Formats: sequence, C-alpha cells, structure tokens
Amino acid sequence: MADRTMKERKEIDVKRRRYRLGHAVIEIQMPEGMPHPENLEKFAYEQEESDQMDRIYQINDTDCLKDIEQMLREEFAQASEIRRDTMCVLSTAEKECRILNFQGAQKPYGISVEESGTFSRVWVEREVAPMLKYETIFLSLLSLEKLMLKHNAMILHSAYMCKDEKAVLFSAPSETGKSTQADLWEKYRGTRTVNGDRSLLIREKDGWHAFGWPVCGSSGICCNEEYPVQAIVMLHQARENQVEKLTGFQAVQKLMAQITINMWNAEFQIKIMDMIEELIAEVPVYELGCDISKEAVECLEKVLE
Amino acid sequence: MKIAKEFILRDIAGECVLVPTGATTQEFNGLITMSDTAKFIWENMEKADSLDAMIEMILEEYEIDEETARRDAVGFISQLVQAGFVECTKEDKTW
Repeated sequence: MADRTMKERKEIDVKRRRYRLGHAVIEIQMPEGMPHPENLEKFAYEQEESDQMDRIYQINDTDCLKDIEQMLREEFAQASEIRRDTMCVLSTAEKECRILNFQGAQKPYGISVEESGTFSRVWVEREVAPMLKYETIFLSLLSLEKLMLKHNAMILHSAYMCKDEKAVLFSAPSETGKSTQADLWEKYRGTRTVNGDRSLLIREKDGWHAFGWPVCGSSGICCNEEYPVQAIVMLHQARENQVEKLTGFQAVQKLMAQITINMWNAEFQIKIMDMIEELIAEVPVYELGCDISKEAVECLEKVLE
Repeated sequence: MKIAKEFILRDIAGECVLVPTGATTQEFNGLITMSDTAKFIWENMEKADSLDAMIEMILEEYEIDEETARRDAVGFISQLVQAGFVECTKEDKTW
C-alpha cells in the first residue's frame, strides 16, 4: 500500500525544464518520467527562478482527451474554427486552442490551449505519450512558430551548413535533397552541417543570423549554434547543375513555401511577409538546380565566393 | 458584388498579391498576383453598384477605351465569381 502511494505521488511529480530557442525562453512542466526529445536538451537554459519566462507549458497525459476536447469546445464556443489536415484551430481575440490529430486519424492525440498571458495548457493522449520522444510530435504541441514570430524569428525548412563561420541554408520541399547537398559540401569542402532540416532566422543589429532548432528530420544532426547568414539556396533536382539569383516576388514565393506560417492567421501572415521582404533585401537568395555530384558544389561555389 | 472570402491584399516585393487567410485557406492556398487594373477592381468591387458603374470607375482611373475596360472587368470578375471569391448582390445576378 505504502509502495503504491509512493508510486502515485511519484507519478504526479512535476519536472520543470527550461530552454532557450533564439531569444525566447520557455519552461516546460511535465510529469517526471514523461519522455521528451533528446535534441531539446541541447537548448537547455540555466536561469534564476525569478526570471521571466516567455511562455510556460504545462503538459499532462490523459485518457479522457475526448472529454477535454468537449469541455474546451464549450469554452471556445464563440471562437472561429479552422480545420487543417492534422489539426483544428479554435481562436478568439485572447486565446487559441489547437486540437491535433495524425493525418487521417479520427481522434486527436493532443490538445493545446494558449492563454493570453504566458501560460499554455497541453494534454496528450496517454497512449501517445511515449511518442513524445520524437521532436516533431512533442513540438507540435507547443505552437512555437507563434512564440518565435513574437520574438521576430521565423523557422525555415532548410539544411543549415556552416561555411567559414557563416550560415548557408539549403531550402526545398522534403525529399529534394537539402541535407544531401550539405553532405556534399562537407565531403568536398570540409564544411559542417549544423542542422539537417531546420534553421531559425533572426534579424540582429548587424544583419540576419541563423540559430539552431530542435527539429532536424532524418539527418539526426542538430546543433545549437548561431552564425550570420551568407546566403539562402533554394534547391530543385536537375540533370545539369545551374545556379541563378532569385529576386523580388520570385524569392518571396519560394521562401514563403518553406517558412512555417499560420496561413489562417492574417496578423501572422502580414508580419512574416514584412520580415521576408526585409530578408530578401539583405540576404542573397539563389535557386540551384543540382544533381548529387561534386559539380553541384562547384556550381554554387562560384556565386558564394 | 461583395467579397465573400477572407483575403489580404498587399504589395510585396513590387507585386500586388491577394493572399488567402482565415477560413479561405481551408479550400485555397497560394498567392494570386494582380495587375494594376485587377487590384483597382478588387478594391472598388463593393463600392460599385453595377458593372457599368465599375467600368465608369475604371475609365476615370485609366486611359483605356471602354471596350478594353469592359473586357478586363468582365474577365476578372467572372473568374472571381467562378472561384467563389466574390458573390453577386443583385437578385438578377447582373452584379
């Protein structure tokens, strides 16, 4: 009996962890023992107890997610509702609720409520909780792109390569070969991949910088490092290697497709468009048609030098 | 005519674009680039009370002949109606 009481008490022990992503500091409170992604620990942040958090997430697992959904739908009765493939977003002027589901699944795996202050409540289906070790699932519960935008940062779908202490970002839809290009540079030019799938872009006083991000796709490469951005390279597969500079609207369109944008949120869209305009005025954006040979490296090298 | 869907109209990198937002994004994604005249028609769609009134507004703004103005207006507006972006407000569906 005593053992059981101890166990029960242990189950509700809450572990607080703090992380710094770009310039934002978050605190995650979750039951001790609930898994979280390893890569997130690279962003761990030591801070005084009294310091201000930009957002606090309280995560709990539950086996009555449907009831919680029902309760929240009543709480958000006046909200506008947007349905996407993998989530349903209920928003009012003050707060937002996201009901998340796997593609094609009928029932949700998680629900988050972002309150107007700095507090977010998150519930995850108990059966799914072991999958919280996967960064995409864990981070889907946190709506981080919103917090990042508040801190003037945007998440670019890109393989982030460090070359001569500068960031070169290969961006393209999944499966195009972003990390493959970064690998080719590593092999032939001794560069280093900082992140295989994502980078965080922030306009600092001296120009645009790329920061690390705790999602790295199948590459497994995820470092928490910051470098000034030298160039962004949009990729497509081609038989012949060819590079051209993208300007104006062409660059905007390509970038918008690879930046995490809440397309249903006008305020979000407007701010992102302003930031992209600023970005393309200061950072060269290239389109590289490439294969997976040394020539692809040489072709891009001509414009990067 | 009235605009039936949520869009943001804005200039970005020298182009005027119509950006779907809100519930519109459930059925439509992507940016629509607009010519000068298209932008003018969109902005004045709800101010004009008939096709003729719209054409008159276009003729006041641009140095084009009436036939071109009518062709542009009918072409663009019928595309918008077909896509469900705008709706007729008159019962006889002439505007």
